[in-house]
Amino acid sequence: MKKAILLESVSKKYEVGSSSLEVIKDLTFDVNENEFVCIVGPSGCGKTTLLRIVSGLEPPSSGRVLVFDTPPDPRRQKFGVIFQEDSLLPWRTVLGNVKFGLELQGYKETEHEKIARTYIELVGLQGFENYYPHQISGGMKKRVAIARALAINPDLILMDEPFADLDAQTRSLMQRELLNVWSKLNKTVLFITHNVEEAVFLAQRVFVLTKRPSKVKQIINIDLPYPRARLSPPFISYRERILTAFHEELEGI
Amino acid sequence: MKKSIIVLSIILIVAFGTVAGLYGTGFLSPAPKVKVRIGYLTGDLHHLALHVAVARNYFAQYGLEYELYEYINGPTLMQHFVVGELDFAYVGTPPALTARASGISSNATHLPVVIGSGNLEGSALVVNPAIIKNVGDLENKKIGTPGTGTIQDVLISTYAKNNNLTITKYPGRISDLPLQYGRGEIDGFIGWEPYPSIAAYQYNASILLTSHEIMPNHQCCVLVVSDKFLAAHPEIVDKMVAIHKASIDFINTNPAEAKQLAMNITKLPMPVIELAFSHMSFSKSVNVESIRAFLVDMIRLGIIKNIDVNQVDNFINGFINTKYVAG
Amino acid sequence: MLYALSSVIIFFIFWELIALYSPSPYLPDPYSVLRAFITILTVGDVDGYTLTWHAVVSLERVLLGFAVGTATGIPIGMLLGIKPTLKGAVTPIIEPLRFIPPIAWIPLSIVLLIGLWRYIFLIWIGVFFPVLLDTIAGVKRTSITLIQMARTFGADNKKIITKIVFPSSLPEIMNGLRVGLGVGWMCIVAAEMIGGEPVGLGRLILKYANLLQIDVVIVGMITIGLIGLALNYLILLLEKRMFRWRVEIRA
Repeated sequence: MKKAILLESVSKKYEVGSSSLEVIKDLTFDVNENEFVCIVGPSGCGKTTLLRIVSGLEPPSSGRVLVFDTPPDPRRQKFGVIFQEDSLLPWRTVLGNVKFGLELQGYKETEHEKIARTYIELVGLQGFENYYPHQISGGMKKRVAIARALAINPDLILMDEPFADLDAQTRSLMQRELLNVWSKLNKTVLFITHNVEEAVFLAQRVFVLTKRPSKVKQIINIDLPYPRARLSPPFISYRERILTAFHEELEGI
Repeated sequence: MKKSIIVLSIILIVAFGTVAGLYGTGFLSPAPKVKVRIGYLTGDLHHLALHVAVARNYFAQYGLEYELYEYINGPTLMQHFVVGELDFAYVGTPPALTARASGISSNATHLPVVIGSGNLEGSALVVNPAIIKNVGDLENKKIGTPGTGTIQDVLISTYAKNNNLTITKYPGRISDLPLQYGRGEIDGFIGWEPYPSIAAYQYNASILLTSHEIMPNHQCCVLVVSDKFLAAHPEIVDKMVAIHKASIDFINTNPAEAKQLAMNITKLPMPVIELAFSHMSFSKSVNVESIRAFLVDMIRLGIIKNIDVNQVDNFINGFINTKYVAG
Repeated sequence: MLYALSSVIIFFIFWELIALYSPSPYLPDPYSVLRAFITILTVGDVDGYTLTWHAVVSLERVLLGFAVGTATGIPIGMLLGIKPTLKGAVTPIIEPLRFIPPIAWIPLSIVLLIGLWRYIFLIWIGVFFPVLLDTIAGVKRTSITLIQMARTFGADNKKIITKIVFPSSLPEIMNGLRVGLGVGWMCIVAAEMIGGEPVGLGRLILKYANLLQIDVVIVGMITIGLIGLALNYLILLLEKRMFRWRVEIRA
């Protein structure tokens, strides 16, 4: 199977004054095309750094990163990145925000509107095209960000704790809809979270990272059909397995 | 530590303020002697009498203490005069007329009363000879003046009106006018001496009209006293007039020394001083007819609004104090 | 509205009373100011220039200086906001300069500059620094997340500046423009009082101060105040239209 993401012995060090901080050390993993992978790890373990490296925003200090067989470069590849923080442009409407990626990716201007409206519909925001971000809820903002990321037809979707700030109800709704979209569009998704239940609900494979400097502690295949029932015994047992690994790392801090 | 510094500085500030306040209100200062406050204009040779009095110590001889205040033009000086900041002033006749007219109906105003003649004539219109060859060429030209309401402003406005000329007046500071002329910002200017002579000497400006040619023998500057001060201190006014007359006499009997003094004050070369002197004369009597003419002109120009043409004689009678100055 | 109207009426009553009982002939009452206003508006001043002409000339000077101030303040502010090292390098020059008020530049401008350029320069001094500083502040407030978001879509530096940094700094920039226009409008009066041209609201005030006709001086003052108010209101209106996306809009 073709590898969407390949990391080999990746390390990342930051120089802070005279001392250096090693965030990621000797990290190796791969993600298959069209696969949904969740990465869980204790906070401060370098999950966000990892995402920045995979999306080509930062080079690794050492090791090799390949996305579809080339070093990641957002100017030549199409990444749909969804941030934990609100990343909508407050001065643009919902429609304008979804168009944003299309403008940067050099789509024909005549197509922007049509494509944007398609994806707004896909995330269920028709009727809100002309609203400004401050006029819509947190969950809706996330949908806009997702629509914006999907609109450019990305090779890879990278999500950095996108639902962390949402309330429990909205969060589970968004999770179901994300799976819905994923099954429709067949995209590779790398999803970072510190919420173990979320990982088990979403992912085909879950990578548990160690505390800083991070590497992969454990890889768990979730062999459960979608949609998954959160209270089913196998779901709970997966969750317990991951939590155990996760807690070993938490206690070590 | 910090607190004590703050407390200490507050105490110091309060103490300083109190002392300064007491001093300012006269509490701590020695018993006040009358110190006359005299206004005059920047670099104006018309006020040479004042400079002679200062240089020759006439004030000390007459036992008068004085303070001098300098202004950029007559109207500005008179703004300070009418509210009582000055007791005496050397100033052009028109600003004094304007000021008297503006406050004539009010008891609170310090009205100027003429007690001496500063000089006759003494202004000139200098122009760029390449652009303006005769008075007809003045049409639509930019002519600098030392400010609205100055004698030069009134002279040029009247001249333009009488000769059906449209002139764009550029009111500026007298000391800037030669420079503005030199840079071509204005095509010429009318000003008090020595500024026209400076332009003629330094920038080769030509003297198109002297004020003699605009209005022969006209009164120019006068020595005025506040009517309030005159009523309160007639004996001081006597002394001031005596000093002024002595100075005028000195200028007329010692022209060489007077020019030397003018040179020292203005730091200008003798040819400029000579040229300037050729445009003015110093006299102890005022030209009442020209003062009356100025007033009529100013009423016609809209500079003085609250005086009617048939009130002119009455107004002039109050303006000129014949005890001190002969017509 | 009713309160506002009554406070205006009370203000005029007070003015009338003070003018009536003041011993000074130099405090005209509202009625004589109104009469002077009509005269200057219709007949013109002592040199024949009408109030409208004075106002148009002053506005023209301010708007020209404002345009130059904007055209320099925004790009330089963007540059300094984006390049902190450069900003650090020029701070020792900019910081002391910005505390020199435009009025302090007047003597230098008289000696070095001619006519309209003098006004443009003085207004520029007043406009440039507020625009510059607010632009820098706006650039600094740009969210890092938005910049990273744009980078993940493949934006280069030019796109980041035009599509993220500039629109995100616009509220601050507009604030700088509003303050700058206010300062510029205040400088023009001082500049006109000293410069040579016979027209301009500052010159009108000085002319009539020299003639001790204070009613016209007050006409000039009121005109200056009203135009300043109108300019400020226009920019606020523009801001309101531009920044509908903002949660809070300054009243």
